[in-house]
Amino acid sequence: MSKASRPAFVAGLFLCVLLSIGFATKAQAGAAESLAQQRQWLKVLQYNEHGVSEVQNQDFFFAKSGATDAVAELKATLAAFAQNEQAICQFPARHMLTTRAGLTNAFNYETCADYQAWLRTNQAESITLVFADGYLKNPASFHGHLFIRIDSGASNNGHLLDNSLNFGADVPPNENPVTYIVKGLLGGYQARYSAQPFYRHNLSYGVTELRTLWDYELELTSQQTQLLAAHLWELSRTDYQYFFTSKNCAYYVARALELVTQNNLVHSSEWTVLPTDIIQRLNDSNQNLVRSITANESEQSLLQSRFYQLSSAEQQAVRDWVQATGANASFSALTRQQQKRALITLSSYYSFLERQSPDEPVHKERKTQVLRQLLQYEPGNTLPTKLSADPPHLGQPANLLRLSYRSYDEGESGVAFSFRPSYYDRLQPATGKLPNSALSMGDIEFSYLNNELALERLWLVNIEALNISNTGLPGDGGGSWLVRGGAERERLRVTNPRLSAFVEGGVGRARSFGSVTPYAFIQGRLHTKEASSDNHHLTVALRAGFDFNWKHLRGYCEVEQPASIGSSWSHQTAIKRCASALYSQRNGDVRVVFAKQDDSLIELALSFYF
Amino acid sequence: MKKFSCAAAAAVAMLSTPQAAANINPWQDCGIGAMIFEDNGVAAAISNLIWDLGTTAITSATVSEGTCKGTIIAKATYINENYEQIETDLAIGEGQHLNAMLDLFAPANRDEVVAELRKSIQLDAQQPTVKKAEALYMKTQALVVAG
Repeated sequence: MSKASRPAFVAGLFLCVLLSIGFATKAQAGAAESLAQQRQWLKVLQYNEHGVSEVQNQDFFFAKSGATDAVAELKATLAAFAQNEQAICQFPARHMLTTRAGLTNAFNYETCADYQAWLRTNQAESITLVFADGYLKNPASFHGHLFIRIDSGASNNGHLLDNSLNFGADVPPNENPVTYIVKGLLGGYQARYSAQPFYRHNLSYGVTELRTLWDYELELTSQQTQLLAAHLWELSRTDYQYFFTSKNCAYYVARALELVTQNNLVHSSEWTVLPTDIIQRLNDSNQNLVRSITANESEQSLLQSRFYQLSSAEQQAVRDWVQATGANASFSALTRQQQKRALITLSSYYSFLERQSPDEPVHKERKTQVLRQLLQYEPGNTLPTKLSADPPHLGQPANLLRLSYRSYDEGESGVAFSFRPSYYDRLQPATGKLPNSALSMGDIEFSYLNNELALERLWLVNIEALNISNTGLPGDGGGSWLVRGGAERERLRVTNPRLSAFVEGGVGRARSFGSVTPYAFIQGRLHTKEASSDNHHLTVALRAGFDFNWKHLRGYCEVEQPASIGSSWSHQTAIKRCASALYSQRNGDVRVVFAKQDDSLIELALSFYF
Repeated sequence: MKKFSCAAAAAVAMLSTPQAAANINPWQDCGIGAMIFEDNGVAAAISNLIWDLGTTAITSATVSEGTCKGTIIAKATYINENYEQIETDLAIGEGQHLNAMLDLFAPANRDEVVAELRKSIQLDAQQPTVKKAEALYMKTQALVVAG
């Protein structure tokens, strides 16, 4: 190259560099604009379908308008990443997206000490959505609970050491129940995610509250797994307004998962979002979002599963051990292997009793006696179990519409229309619910009988739990209870019934014998007048009957003897009642009811669950 | 008198030397013993403090500031809260809770450690769980160090 041509070459080169910078800047601007419109960028900012982020914390955003302006937030995020590596460690999921779009350079997230410590693993292998069965002793847990676990590779430790992210309301200690329910319903609490090793949830849900934990491992690529884990870290420092029925654990867990789903799992205008809704949507979405489903049995369920795996001789040895509080003839007659199986079941039994009555030292002593005996045998669990119950996503949805035809003996006939936002009654399959139980809220029914429209029933809450004893061992179930409140008309007793407000409670016993579960209750009801001629406000009753479950036929028959207690005590006519779901599918059933007191009723109903 | 002073000074010096991590007793040296862990397994509320405030427990004068952090406290807390399940697994000879404990200690030979723990475990219903958990931790740690 001649000296004369050198300046021209340098000028040309300079122009080329300028042009390439210009093109690169233009290309980068295009990439940024494209990323800002993409679903994953909107989801990493927790934008809902209205283009507004659900995160309340201003420090979640770099731009002032970041909660509503995805482009401004992207620009501010890129500026923050360029200035400060700490910003990358705080928002690794955003950085993964900007890097994938070619807007930032790759970064080694292992240098983020706090993030790595939070993850509890060098490499997140998978993400699991955990569903805890419903728990009737706490209104907030009636419908079950959802949380997320970030799994490391090891699974023979039950993922006990892995990190799990729980979403819950910030409820002050010793909050009274009424305040708790009112504030929970009206959005009076703040809520946030909290990270805990999974063994804490296993202890509190599975061991203390006796709830089975269902693992829904998500079908994600390695890249999606890393992205979601990083996003969960970002969310771990965010706050939200908590609403008991709608913006709850299920809603926000679903929002977090939407980062890796093609479609939204929830909508911000939904009135109720239940944990079962989310696992059903994950399974129904045709996106192949669930890789596997496994169950981590509760202490009580494990005892029952173990007991039913035993031979009849082994079961007898267990019963005799419990009765004699130690080895006995039937135990000695077993082979060593059989003895160990019986002892493993006994260890479960005494663990269960210990949890039920922690202040009772005798259970601990008896368990210790069993463990001492177990140490005399070769190591190894010779009684592995597998839960045979259907996973909860296969259960019927919570919302109900029902249309019934009713005919009373004394001439009235017509239709009734019922609606219930949640959850289930005793005639529904137990999948995902407590067996032989009912739990409903806001159950409302209108009747149109003989051309007259009436509010027939409004049950605010109805819980009936037949806590059945499966093994027959002392202390394993049996104690049943019911709580009900609202208003209804007593048409079977009164010709022109008033809408009577009431609260009702009862206790009882129940025991399962295969497909039949007999039960008996004593119950009391405090109520306003059911008929204008009534002069009592308290009715007590004895009720006995049996649940049955033969193949697809579920139902119950019962007899109830009520007595009115006013200025004097008087028997009412006994009530006989039989009800059955004749045909039951996931989204509906056909049921029939016969009832008789002073009047008698035949009812045929069609239910639709959605 | 001079001899006594020298001995006292040596003792003070010895006490002020940070212990090797393997010899740390988290219950005594890191203050876990000062906290009451309930026997019914709902110890989470108390031990959350340890985890959530940066996995740092109270440090005594005999250990350095950094000793009562991270894995030592993680192991001790895990055993404290899950003692009953680990005890049951040990009696049976296997189980998820026992596996998780071994994952935390990472011994070279897991089967040997399990066999030794089954021989030495204190099955005493009268003894508080926190004491049994402490004994299990120290025994496991000793077995791991002995290799």
